[in-house]
Amino acid sequence: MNIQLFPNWFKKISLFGIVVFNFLSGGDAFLSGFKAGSITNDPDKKVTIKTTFFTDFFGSETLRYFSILSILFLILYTLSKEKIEDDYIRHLRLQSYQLAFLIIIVIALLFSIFNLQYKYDINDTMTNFLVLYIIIFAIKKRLV
Amino acid sequence: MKNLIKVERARHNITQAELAEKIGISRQTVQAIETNKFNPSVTLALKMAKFFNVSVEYLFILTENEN
Repeated sequence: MNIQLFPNWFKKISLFGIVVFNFLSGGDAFLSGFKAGSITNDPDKKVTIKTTFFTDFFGSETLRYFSILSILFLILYTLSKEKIEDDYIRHLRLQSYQLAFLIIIVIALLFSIFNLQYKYDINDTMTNFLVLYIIIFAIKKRLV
Repeated sequence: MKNLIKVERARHNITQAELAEKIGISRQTVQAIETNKFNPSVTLALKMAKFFNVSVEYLFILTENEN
């Protein structure tokens, strides 16, 4: 079954969408971390600064939609065809999906075993899986 | 499975990229087949044999334990 529904040029559009919407949805977190880091470099010292620049500008509901859009663009990227689609590329894609799935399952299991109190929500899981798949596929394509 | 793609490529004096372009596959695929990392489909094997004007049995050879 071939699930690569979109042509290759969709990759460029989706890459642009991923960068823009990730930047917008994660902007406040980045600014908070950047400001806290510029106050002290001591990792033992806990500095909490909450920046709401992007939230004030767009509103929290819009930012939530931005994060959903960034995931949708990630999905679009994974469903776009390569320049040349052939048996080997499909074989590599399948291997990459399998490996990414296995890694995510192992991480989830480790969190469960060690009862780690980290907020690992479904958005993180989706993003991690898709990003992991894209990285593995890109490496496999180059390591022939 | 062994193959003689590299030999035939040298005989026809073409690069992996040129072969890939002529039969409509990626260069990585040619490389993977040549290094025995990937067994091509029947369609692709036939295409390659036709391109080099040889038989599939000549181009792709089963090894001892596969026979």
